[in-house]
Amino acid sequence: MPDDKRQKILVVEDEYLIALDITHTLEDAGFLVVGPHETVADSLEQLAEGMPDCAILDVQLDGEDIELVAVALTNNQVPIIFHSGHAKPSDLEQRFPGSYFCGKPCTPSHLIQTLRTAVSR
Amino acid sequence: MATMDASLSDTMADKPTHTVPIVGVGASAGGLEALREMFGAANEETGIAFVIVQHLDPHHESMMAQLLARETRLEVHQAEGGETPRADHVYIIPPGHGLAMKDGKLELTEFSRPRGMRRPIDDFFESLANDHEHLAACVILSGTGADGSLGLRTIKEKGGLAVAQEPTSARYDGMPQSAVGTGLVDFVREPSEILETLVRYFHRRASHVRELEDSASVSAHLQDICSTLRDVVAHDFSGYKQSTLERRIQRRMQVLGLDHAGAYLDRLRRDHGECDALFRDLLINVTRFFRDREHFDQLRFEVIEPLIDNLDEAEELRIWVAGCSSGEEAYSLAMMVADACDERGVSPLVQIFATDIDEKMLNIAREGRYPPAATADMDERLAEKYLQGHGDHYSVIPRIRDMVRFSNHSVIKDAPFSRLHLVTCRNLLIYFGERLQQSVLPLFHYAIQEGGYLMLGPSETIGRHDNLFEPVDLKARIYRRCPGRGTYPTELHAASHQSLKRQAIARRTAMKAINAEDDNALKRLIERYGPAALVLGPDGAVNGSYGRLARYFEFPTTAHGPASAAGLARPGLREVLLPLLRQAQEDRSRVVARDVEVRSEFGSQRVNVIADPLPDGQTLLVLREIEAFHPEADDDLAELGPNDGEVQILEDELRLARHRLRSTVEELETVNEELKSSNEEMMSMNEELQSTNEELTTVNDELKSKVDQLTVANSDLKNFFESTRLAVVVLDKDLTIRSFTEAASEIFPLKTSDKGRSLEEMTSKFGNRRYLEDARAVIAGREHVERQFVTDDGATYLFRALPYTAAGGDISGATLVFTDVSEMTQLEAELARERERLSLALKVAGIGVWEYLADDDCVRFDDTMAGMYRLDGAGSYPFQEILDRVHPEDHSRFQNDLRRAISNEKDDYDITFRLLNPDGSEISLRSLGRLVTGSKPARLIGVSFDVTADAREDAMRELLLREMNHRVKNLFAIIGGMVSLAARHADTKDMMAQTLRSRIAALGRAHSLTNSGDDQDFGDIQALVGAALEPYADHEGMTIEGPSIAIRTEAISSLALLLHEWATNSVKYGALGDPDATMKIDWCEDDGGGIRLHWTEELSRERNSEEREGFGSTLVAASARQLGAVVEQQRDERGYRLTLILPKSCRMISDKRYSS
Repeated sequence: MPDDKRQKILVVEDEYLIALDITHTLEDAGFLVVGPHETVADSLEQLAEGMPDCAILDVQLDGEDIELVAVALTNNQVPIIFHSGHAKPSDLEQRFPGSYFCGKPCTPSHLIQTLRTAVSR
Repeated sequence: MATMDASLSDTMADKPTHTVPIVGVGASAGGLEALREMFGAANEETGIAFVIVQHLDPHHESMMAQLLARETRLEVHQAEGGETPRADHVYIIPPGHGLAMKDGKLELTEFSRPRGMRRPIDDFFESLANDHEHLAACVILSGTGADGSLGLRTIKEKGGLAVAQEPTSARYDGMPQSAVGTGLVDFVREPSEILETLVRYFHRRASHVRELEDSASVSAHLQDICSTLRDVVAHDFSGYKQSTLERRIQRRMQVLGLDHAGAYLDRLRRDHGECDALFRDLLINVTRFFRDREHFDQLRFEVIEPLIDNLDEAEELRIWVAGCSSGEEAYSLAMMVADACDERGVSPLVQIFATDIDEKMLNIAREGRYPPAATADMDERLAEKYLQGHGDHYSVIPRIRDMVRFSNHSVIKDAPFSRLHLVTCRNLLIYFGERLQQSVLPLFHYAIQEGGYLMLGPSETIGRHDNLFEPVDLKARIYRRCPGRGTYPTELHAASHQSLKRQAIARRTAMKAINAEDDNALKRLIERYGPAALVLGPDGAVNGSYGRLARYFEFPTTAHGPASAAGLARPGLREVLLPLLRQAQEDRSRVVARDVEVRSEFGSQRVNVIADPLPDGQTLLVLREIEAFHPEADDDLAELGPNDGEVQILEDELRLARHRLRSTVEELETVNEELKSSNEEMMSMNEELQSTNEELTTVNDELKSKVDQLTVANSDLKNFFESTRLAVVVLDKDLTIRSFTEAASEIFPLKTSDKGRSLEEMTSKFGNRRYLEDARAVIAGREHVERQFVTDDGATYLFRALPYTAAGGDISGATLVFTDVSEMTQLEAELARERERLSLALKVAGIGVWEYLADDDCVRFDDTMAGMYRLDGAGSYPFQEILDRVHPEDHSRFQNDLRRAISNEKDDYDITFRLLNPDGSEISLRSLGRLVTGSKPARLIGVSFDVTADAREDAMRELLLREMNHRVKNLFAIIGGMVSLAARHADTKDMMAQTLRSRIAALGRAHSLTNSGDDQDFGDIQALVGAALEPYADHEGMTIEGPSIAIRTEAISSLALLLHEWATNSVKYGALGDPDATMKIDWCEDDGGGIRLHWTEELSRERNSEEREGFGSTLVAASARQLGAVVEQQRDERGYRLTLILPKSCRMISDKRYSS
């Protein structure tokens, strides 16, 4: 749907239930969810088709590191929200300045608020 | 009377000024003891240097210095020559040399005389006196003989001090006795008091020198002192030179410690001994043979030879030596005269009168024995001819001795000799004051016959009396008497009112000055107006005469000794005289022989002869004329002939008898001379023996000390031998046992009686006897042998054989030392075992030991360490090489910690670090170390062990923790998601709550499987299924079966949720909701490595078909998707079968992370 005016948000999350929940949350808030993707490869493939307006990334996928995806996004000035119970914010902020972080578990309102802040920049 | 050396009148500035007084100490036999006592008393600074001169055996090392050093606080050296004696130092004569002082330095001299005839003490004292004068002192200690006494005189002459050991305290009193006998010793003291006396004397001396200007007090009392002295010793010194007197009086005061002349005067008045001492001091003198030899040569040429040449036949050559002192000058003259006579082949009668007032000096002169020093100026030819050597002294030959007659006579107060050809009076006038000098010269003029000569000392002149004497040789002070009648100087003799010292002594208590005029009148009265009288000795000798006696006695022209009054009496008197005297002496009363006619060639005189015994044993014989003198004609002689003849015959017989007696006496004298000379030889031999004896005694003393020390050393050694636990056996060259310690008898069956037996004969506790070979080897010259012996009962001994070195350095045997080292050996073995155990433990534990040496900056590794670092082997490696192996990230920590540990900032070194091996592999090491306390250079010792496994586990644990944390947070997220999703599908609140709670419970159960206490991080499908169906376990138709298969943790939540949804569905619609249904859950591995799980329900009724696609289905789909699983569903009317095909990735297949 090329004429869709909704902002496109890439979701990378390997936990299906959570991905589902995020998808619902975002769609309820009026965003267009790209994905959700479970693997780095899928995500990169998706990115090749076009950059989203923002991305919510689980840091650690099933044994994979999200870094490649994050790098690609950063290179295209796409704001990133890391959504993880894992990595410490300082590491990520250092590696990806300007990125956002929402620790798991996170309330949907906090996620949306962060997303709005990120895309409005 | 004496001559005096110039020293006292000289100023002291002529000589180099020495400031340290030097005391010469002479000692011989028994001297060691006295020296110890003397120097042992030194307990403070003395300010005096000491030089000890002894009689030593020239071939024997003297231990004197060591022996004495032990006793005194002063520093003791053996003199080496060239030293300047320093205060508080003691110098000891070395053996084989004499000692002298020259220009302030000690000088070793060679002895010129053979052993036994040396007088080193005299020699040293003389040189000391000449060099140090008033700063010299001498001390004479125990010893036999008389060495030192002559030197002492020189010391005194030069103004020094003389001290002698109290003879009663000396082991051998010969030397002190002889010194005291000179009468010149200032102090006689016990040895322990001598040092203090010397210190006090020299201290006073120093203070006196400062006050030298203030001699006024002595001057003021000079007259009183002289008169006191005159009263006591009967010699008047008031005419003597004032300065000389004062100086000598001051010296006496110093000796006595008196500061005021008044006090000294008091002392002099109270103490007649002091008078004698002062008298002696005033007469101190120096003289020697041919003193001023050129003057004597002149005298011989100008005077003696002409005199002899011009002598009438039968004329006697009469010479007077006034002030002869110890006689050298008189003997010199005698020798010169004798020699001149010999040259001319004449032998005139020669009379040399030598006089002095010092009886002690006269005794020396009469003895005619002189030290070699006295002959220094003498012509060798004359010495050879007229002196006999006796080793350490010379004596004048009898011929010369007989020419000189010594007598106690004062120039001043006694009547002079007369008709003299020559008077010598040398160095006497210099003592006299001007007035006295001027009165003595006329006296000489009176005494010398016309054409005779006078010789004075080099610094004396005839003064204004050039009318009496004319110079012959001005330089030699030889004068000729001017013609003219000699005037007897009454002035001089008027002053001397006593003729005999005896009388003076008798009058000491009550002295009355008799007016000189009275004396003259009395004399005149006696001579002119009194009756003729004689004073006769107890033997009838004429001791004195008064008035005109020519009528009664016949005086021969030549006098030979004291004449007997009876022999001299004229006929008539001669007969009565002896009986009269005898009676008077026997009765002790006056006896008179009346009307005695005395006949002479001129006539006869009748007299009464009165014999009046005097209190002193003499008899006064008074001849009172009772008739006028009858001159008689010659023919009277015939008349009286017969009477006279009888007497004449008797007299002839008497003369004959006398003649015989005389020749007998002469024979006796000859024999006597021979005996005397034999005696002298004996004496000299005796002296030699004595001197040898002294040396022996000295050596003996030293040996005694040595023996004492040896005894102590011996007892030390004995105690050591008895107390030591060391087994020592001393052998001599042929392995004979010399001595052994108690402990040695444990090895050899030794008894005291075995000393002297050979060790070869002895058995021992050892199996072999190699110690004998070793002992021989050591005796043969090997340095030492060491080996171990094991006894039969298992004890171990360390054996050492050492050469036994005798005092000379030769090997004279062997010392065998056995040390019981059983315990040590045992300890050593235990230690080795312990070490083995430790090293094994280290090895097993893989612990390496290292040592860091801070100074060298290197590290020492053992094999284990080297292995860890992949180095070649144990050894020392530079620190940098080690550091290069350390993981770069750990470099700084590694270095810093080490530095801190070395500088002791932190007590212990404890670090875990990584090593990067050359092959790229990494291992972790933990190093512990500690600074070795007090090590210098600083050393750190420590261990290292491999902690790679631990490190890995730690990392794993951390990972797990993180994982768990993540999982929990994930779970929360899932629950959050479930809640959101549930909210979307829920019909009612209660419904939603119920389903959610059961789902969360299922998740919780599943989760607890992953956490079931053990470390397993995986679930078991068996347990998982059980847990999922646990709430329905009471359903009778349910069976669960399948093998235990491990499931990945990540898969557990999804699988549990899936099974939960299935179970929930089954409760709602299927078997679990039907009590009669059966249900079977089973699983197995499929061919692809995955798991195939079957869920089979057989319902008792038809399955409720109202089931619809709800959230449960979404959840199942999501879960399956998450698991990558495929769900197959088959259903028929009553059966319902679900098949879950799980991929291999869900299984827990040996993950590399878990390999350990």
